[in-house]
Amino acid sequence: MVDGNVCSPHRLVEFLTALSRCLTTADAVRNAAELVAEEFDAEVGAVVLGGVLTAVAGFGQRPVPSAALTAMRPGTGVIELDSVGRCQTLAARWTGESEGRLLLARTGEPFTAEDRDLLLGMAGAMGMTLDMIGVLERERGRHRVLEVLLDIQRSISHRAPLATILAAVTDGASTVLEGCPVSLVLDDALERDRPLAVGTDLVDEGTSVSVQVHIEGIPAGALVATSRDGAPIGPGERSLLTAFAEHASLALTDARTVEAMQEAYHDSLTGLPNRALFLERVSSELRSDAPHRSWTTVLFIDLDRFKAVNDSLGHAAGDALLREVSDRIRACTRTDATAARFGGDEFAVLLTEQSDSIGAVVVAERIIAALREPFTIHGKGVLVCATIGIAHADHATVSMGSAADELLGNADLAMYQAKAAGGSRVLTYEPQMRVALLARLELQAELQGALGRGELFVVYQPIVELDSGRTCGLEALLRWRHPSRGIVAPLDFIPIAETTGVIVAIGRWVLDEACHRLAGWRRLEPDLTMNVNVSVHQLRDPAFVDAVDHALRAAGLPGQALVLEITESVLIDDVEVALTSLRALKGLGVAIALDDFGTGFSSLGYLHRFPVDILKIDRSFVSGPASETDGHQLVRMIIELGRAYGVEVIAEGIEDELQRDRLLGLGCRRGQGFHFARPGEVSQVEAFVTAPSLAGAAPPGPA
Amino acid sequence: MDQPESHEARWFGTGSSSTLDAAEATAAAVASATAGRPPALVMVFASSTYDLHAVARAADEAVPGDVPVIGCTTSGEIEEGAAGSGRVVAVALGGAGLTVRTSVGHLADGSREAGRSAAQGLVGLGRPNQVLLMLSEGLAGGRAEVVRGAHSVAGAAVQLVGGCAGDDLAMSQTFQLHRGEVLTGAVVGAAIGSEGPIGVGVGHGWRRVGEPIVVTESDGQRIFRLNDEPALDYYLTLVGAAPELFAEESPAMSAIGLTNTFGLPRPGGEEVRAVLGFDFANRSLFCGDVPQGTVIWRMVGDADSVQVGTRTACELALEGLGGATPLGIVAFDCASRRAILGDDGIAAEMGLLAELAPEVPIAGFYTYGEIARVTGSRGVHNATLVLLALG
Repeated sequence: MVDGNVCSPHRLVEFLTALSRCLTTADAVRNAAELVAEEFDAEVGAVVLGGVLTAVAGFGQRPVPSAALTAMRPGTGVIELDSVGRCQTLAARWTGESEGRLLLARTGEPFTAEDRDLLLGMAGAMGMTLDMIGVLERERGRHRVLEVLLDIQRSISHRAPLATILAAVTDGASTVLEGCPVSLVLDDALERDRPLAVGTDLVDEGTSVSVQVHIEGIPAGALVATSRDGAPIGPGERSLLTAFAEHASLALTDARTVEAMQEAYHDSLTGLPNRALFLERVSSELRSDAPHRSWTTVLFIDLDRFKAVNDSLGHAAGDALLREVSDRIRACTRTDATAARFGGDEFAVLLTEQSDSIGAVVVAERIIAALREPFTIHGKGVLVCATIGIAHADHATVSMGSAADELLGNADLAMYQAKAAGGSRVLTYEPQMRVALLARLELQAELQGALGRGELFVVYQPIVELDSGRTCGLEALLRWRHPSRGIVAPLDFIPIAETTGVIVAIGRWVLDEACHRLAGWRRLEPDLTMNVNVSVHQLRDPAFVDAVDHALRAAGLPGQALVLEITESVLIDDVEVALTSLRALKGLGVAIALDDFGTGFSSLGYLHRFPVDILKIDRSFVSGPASETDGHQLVRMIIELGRAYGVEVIAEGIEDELQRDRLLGLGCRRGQGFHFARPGEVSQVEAFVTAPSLAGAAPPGPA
Repeated sequence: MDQPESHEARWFGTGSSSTLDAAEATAAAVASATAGRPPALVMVFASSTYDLHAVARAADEAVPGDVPVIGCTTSGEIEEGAAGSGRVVAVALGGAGLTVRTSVGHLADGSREAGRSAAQGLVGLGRPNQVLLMLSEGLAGGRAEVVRGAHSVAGAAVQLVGGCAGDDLAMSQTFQLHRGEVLTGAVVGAAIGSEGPIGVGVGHGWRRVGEPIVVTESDGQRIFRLNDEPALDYYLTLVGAAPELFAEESPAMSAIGLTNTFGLPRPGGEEVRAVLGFDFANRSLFCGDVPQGTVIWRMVGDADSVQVGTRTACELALEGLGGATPLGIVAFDCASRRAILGDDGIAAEMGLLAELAPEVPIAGFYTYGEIARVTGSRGVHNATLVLLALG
């Protein structure tokens, strides 16, 4: 693409610039013959003017086969030339005041459609130049006109601002046409009925003549000259005006091309190469046959928590952050590495000459460390991090073709795995990741329909008063009964439901189901409450609060009957959104429990900022290996904290009498775990609720 | 009945000497190249450390009066499988199957005219195979015009080959020699007609990196603006030069210029252009024959890729002989390739040439630009190896 479409206007500019230096027809024709031969790597270049072979390059002192050359018709062909040999030929003609053909013969490759296109353009430029020279040679103010056009051509090739060039076109044409008002009227793509005008305002009186202006061959407006004193405008002036219009077309097309070239290859926000350019560079690196370049390495970088910044601080801040991120990534890599942005919060880096995989990991870890440092965006401190996937291509085994895409895909996959493992880390691609991905994709596809097929169901685990063993609440837990795999563990499918967004629909169903069931069980125990887990995706769903309200109303429950359990990550990722939703839920009377407390960031700040009613102590502190020592201290702290803030504490994962007693001793009043009951299906719940005490009802079992 | 002229009728010899005295060194090199045979052409490539007038005189005296002697100063000499600086290298051709005529053009008369004048030896030369060998001023632009001028006489049937004189990277003045005269700003042409085949090979081994760059201002000798930024600053940023190099000329710069070239996209590959100097006053680059308005690429090469170019050039030159055994090879190797290869690389390059063309005498010099037109109409090269094989 770069050699073809993008370049051809430049090659045309080069040709026109060279021709524009010629003052006579003979000079222009001789130059054109040489220039076209050079441009197309041809042995022979020639110009036929008015049916006569006027200039030939490529035969030197040897006889010129005039008849054979003059006989060449527009298009491609093959010709045998004495001193050169068998040649591919290409000819293009122009018509205008003069008529002629540009001819090429070369021993190399056959001419392509693109060559034909370019030669056609050159023939057009040739005709235009000759017409111009012809007119100029006839006109009295020849020198002045020439200077005007040369100035315009100079400003085109110097890439002066487009407005300057177009003003030079209208002013120049007006000067050359003895002061006739000249205007350039361009169609505005945005406002069809209000064209853009450059030059003198159009006047109604007087005869006028207009010549079309094109952008990339498509009519885009007209150059209009109005006669000053009613005198008719003759064909000579018209042809002069055409020359000016062609210059305007060339300038417009060229400006578009330079811009398009920049746009086509760069991310406008950060100035980094975009995916297209990045892939081109990866391909080029993979093609490199330099012996020491045995590995090509790609890092795929995805920012963690970027969406939260964008949502809470606005898009302008998000953009500023992306620019700073790109600066930091660049600063972490050598100058011969290519950093690119693919849009959104995805970046990539191409490493060259990293001899081993350890080198790439070092670079990736450097990037993560750099991005972990706080950013100051619009005066506010912002924290993000990054997850990076690495993929290497071994030049010895790489297959060409889609190699660049495949390499990038592998790095993406490694990133995805790193993300699934919790993010903020580096993972290097391994072939088994693809196997795992396929399995996951399969599960994902099946999960989409699981709700509709009735494969999902809810089990309920009692939450009990630790002293009496009486059930005071239930936690609703989702399960999937897969037709062939059996019961799929929640950890294996809930993250998938979250990434695909299907969690929103599933979560709503769980909520409805749990509320509906609770309404029935509250007839047995009127104070019974129901804990339902809520994911960050549900909380972000603008309809979530309404859905909770609807579930409560449909079941005829008061808000106080429901406890929504959220994890700390909800509070970290989307502070503003989370706060808004939580406040609205509190408005319904619903209580909020912070799940897995103590495992994550566990900032006490949450207890200040968020309307949390319940802390659930993570099972690892209650029954895990750490529960005897550090866990014990932590549990004590959490319980005291709860007391200080007036927040209730529920211990999870209680497995035996000893643990229960210890918790009771520390002042914890409620808990759940196998010691009391494993989660049970709907049919078992009635027994939980009506039993006077669950303590010891279930033998300790594996988690 | 005439005997058909056989391979044995033509010969090719090389010689070199590093003796400090210019006349002695030249006499020794030429004597070794001719080995007592009457030559049709003698070429002398001399390190710029020698007294050029003494070289020219000694070379002219070493051969019979009507035998043309041409030559130039270099940025390193190649002979007998060794490349280095500080020598005089001589190449002599002769035998019944060869005709050589020389002529000189002067850039002061216009580059195109200089090229035309240098090609005048071709007029009425005879022999079925012809080549025009040119030794040109190394520090002037306008090479495309020189080639156009020569091509307008030679036509597509005659290949053009040659190199631009060097001055051991001093970049101050280069000289050309013709029949005992020491010239500067000249193009010396030797039209060689032969009954044997002639092969010309071109190879560079550079590859393009990064994105296209628009030459927004240039005058054929210098590039003033790239992507509408001052060319010097754009270039130094592009190659990742140290900040202090932006301020003033330093010795490190010439190596940067030689190893970071530009490529003009052409059908079938890029034409390379080396940056020969830096103008800090108006932030421009001395980089000739890069027309304004063209799109160029940054080119990079390393010792390995340069050797790929060596192999390409040699294989193409031998291919041009159509299977005939080469009598000898004249090498025009760019000074920038020498800078990239270093001493070990040069030894490897010489080894590679010896391997590809075993037992074939090879001599030539390190240039400030190469000339080669094999197909098409273009002939200006930089950072490239051009080989002329005579069969």
